[in-house]
Amino acid sequence: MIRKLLYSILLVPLFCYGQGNNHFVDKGLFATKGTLAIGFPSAYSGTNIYINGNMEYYLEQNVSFRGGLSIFMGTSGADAVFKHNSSLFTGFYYHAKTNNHLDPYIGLEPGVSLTQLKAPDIQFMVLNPQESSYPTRVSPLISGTIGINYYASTFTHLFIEAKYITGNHTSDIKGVSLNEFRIAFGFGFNFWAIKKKEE
Amino acid sequence: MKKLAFIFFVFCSLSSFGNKNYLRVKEDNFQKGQLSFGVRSTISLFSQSGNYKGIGAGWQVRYRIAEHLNSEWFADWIVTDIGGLGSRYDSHIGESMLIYPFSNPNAAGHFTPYVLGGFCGDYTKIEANIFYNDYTKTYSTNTKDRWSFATQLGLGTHYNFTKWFDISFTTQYILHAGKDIHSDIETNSLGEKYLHIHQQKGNNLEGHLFFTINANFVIADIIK
Repeated sequence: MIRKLLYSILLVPLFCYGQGNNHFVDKGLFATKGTLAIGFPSAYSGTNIYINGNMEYYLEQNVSFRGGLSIFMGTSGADAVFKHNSSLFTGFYYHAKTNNHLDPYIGLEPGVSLTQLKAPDIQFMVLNPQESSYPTRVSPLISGTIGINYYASTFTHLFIEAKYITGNHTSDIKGVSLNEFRIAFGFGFNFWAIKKKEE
Repeated sequence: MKKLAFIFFVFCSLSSFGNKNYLRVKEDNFQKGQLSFGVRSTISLFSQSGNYKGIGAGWQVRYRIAEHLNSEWFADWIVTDIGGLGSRYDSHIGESMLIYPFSNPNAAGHFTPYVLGGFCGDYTKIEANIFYNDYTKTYSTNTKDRWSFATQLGLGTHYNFTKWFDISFTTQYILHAGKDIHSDIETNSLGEKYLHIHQQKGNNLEGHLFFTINANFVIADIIK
């Protein structure tokens, strides 16, 4: 499933170059996205669920600056390791030039995570007096993103993207890797903050 | 090795200034006065606490002093998991000078190599995970911190996606001078490994090797 999605993300841009001559994105475009994201952690089993949102401004035709927030909603398919695992990212994106309304992109976004491990039940804690106080920690993250937008109309767009995140949650017990492959897709809104130049 | 590297840098600088295209490039592609903002991701490859990979994030501002000279003002913060037994936190605020030894710096679609040197201030904290303390006969943690200053030297390259936007890759060695702080992995009377943090009197030197990838966009041209 993940492989198919990845192939889709990587292959779709290849078909973007022979589709007419109507490049949509340009300096002054403001776009915002809100959707669900699913994360596949490498350190433990289960699928993390996030509410994902970001805002993006095109500084020039093929460069944008983005800020985004992922709010952790829990873990599906296995016992939750984290009680909190939300993250905030800011970074730059490079958009490949196409001749249509498709907008493939890659991005580099450093970020921070707000994480707290889920405490085990009371019985376990009585038997293990040395156990942690499970503090909430803020940790730096490195992330890289690849994806594609389809600007279907003047005000809305569709997108699909894959993000790889790396980081560590550290506390007063053994650290847990925050490495995760995250997929998000859905639709967003966009408008021109600066009127687009006519070609 | 150090001598060879030094001779190489000096030679590169001299050869680039002797290039006949230099003056033409300067006229066509003048970058002096540009102010750019960027984000940075850092990987710390080793430190006094051992060969553990640290992950960091931060920001930077660059001001282009001359066509072949740039300044980078940065702040970053790195977290390292020390073998599952403790954590190390490093924060840096500093400045680096970037020297472009070759001609045609910042041409779109090209790599621009540079030599980098500078200084920074640093705050380090090492925290041990909960362990059984043989002296107090209880489970406890231990934390120590220090401030230091540092000097750095490195090599890197920009890749200029456009005239205004680049991605840069840098490897730099940072040498810190400050109060001693270091940690060792030891075993307690229960046979469990734990992180023993030491802080001896007097100053000490400590080196780190960093790899940084950053993205920068020119936000203003102060001279124009």
